[in-house]
Amino acid sequence: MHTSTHILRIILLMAAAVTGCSDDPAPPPAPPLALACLGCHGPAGRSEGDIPDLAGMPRERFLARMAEFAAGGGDVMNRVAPAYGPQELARLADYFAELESTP
Amino acid sequence: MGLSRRELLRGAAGIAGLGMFGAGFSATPAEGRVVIVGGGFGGATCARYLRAIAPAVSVTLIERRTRLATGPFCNTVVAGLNPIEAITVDHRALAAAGVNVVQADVRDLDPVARRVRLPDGDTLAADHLVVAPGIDFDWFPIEGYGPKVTDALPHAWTADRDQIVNLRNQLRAMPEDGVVAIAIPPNPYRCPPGPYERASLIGHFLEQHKPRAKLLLLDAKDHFSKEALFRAGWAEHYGERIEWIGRPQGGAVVAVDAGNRTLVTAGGERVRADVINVIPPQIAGALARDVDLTDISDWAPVDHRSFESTRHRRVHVLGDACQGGPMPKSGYAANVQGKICAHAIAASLAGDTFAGTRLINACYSLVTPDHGISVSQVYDLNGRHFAAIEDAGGTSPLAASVDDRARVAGYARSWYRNIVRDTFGDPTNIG
Repeated sequence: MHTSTHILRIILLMAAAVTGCSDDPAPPPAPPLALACLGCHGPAGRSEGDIPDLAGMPRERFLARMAEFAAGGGDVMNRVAPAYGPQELARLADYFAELESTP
Repeated sequence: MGLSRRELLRGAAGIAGLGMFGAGFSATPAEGRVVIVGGGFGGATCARYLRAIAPAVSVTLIERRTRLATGPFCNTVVAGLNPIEAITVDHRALAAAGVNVVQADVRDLDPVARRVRLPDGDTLAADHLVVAPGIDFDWFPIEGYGPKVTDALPHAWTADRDQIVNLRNQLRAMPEDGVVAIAIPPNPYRCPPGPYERASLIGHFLEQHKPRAKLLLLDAKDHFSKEALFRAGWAEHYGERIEWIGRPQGGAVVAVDAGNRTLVTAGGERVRADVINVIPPQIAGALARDVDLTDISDWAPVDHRSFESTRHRRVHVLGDACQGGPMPKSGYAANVQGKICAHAIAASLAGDTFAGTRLINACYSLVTPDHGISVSQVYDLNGRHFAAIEDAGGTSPLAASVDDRARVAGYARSWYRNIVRDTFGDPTNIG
């Protein structure tokens, strides 16, 4: 492959990526690990009704709640939390903290 | 310069592989055509998430119904707690999000060429095909039961709104001292705890409106989902009103006499009832079975990293029709499967590979409107297949307080609203 073609491809790729971003007002796509949370907690982490929002939940609160659940509190979450390790929980906490909460 | 956009993207895929853009997301915009057949929880979720994560991919959703009744919460309608509109969904929000929604039957599907033919002769070709037809009934094990008698003896176990309304109306019209019978199928079938939640909420209806009526459950199984919780709940709320007759006691229904409203059990009993709900044995939807996507089990084998068929490349089978391993056939499972499939397809169209991810099933049942119970499980990939994580999962405790049960019932209602929006989109966002 010619180097010039390679560089051209990179430049065009960057342009395409930038255009794609500006077109899309949607929240950042959920990292795969978070996909399973959204059925209960609502699309983009915004819930209707009694199940709490995850969108905009402060990182420390997310981690504290998950620790409480792993210790046996709650219903459903007490049986979900033990399946996630500290690094995974940190990634989930970061993602949900960044999402805009329900207006 | 002689480079098409497609060639350009193909070339760029190698760059994404260098890891410049972080894990999990390819830098290359995915392009291509995806055709999804079936607009239930699996198909609709896959369509919605594909639009969100791969906006350059054309997504067509083919579904024959314009309005679907959801399985989740259908028992609240059967029991008269909610109107049918409360569990009716459509695909307008998906269309507003850019999904090409086609209301049609599928006449033919070619899993090798990845082409779908519609009744009007139109042919749709796809880079990835998603098949999510749900279940079909296996009519053979119950003699005398079939499409001609479902009006008299409703199943109320599909997206057909009329079936659910029919069962509700029969319950309303029955005598005060009448008998209701539910025939319950062997595993595997859609929504394992569903028949028992139905029994619970019908019990609640009878308690209020038919005080001298009885409910008989004729089951093809030895045990059932959330059994200890349901049994304790029935004893507490409904006393002698609900009677369960399992397979060991000869409870499996082997024949019906629709004209005489009579069920015949494996034990040789003839049971006459005023309202009969037959939930028949189940197999994958015909669309999957007719085109070589299922094996001897009559369900479709798939790779759980992508829900790609193990029989045909770039054809994915989602939801109740696939072999989910330890995952139940549930709306929640279909929803997460749809997301995993969307990510796998987007990665493939960007020249990348999706590694798969962990998955949760969470499922609520109502024993009464104020007494909720749940079952949840977390699944992790072990090679190409999910396995339940041993230290997680389980059901609500038997000893839950009245307050806790009411809280879980509230979560159940919230869960329903959230899963429906996560799957079909938010109807309030339609212009």
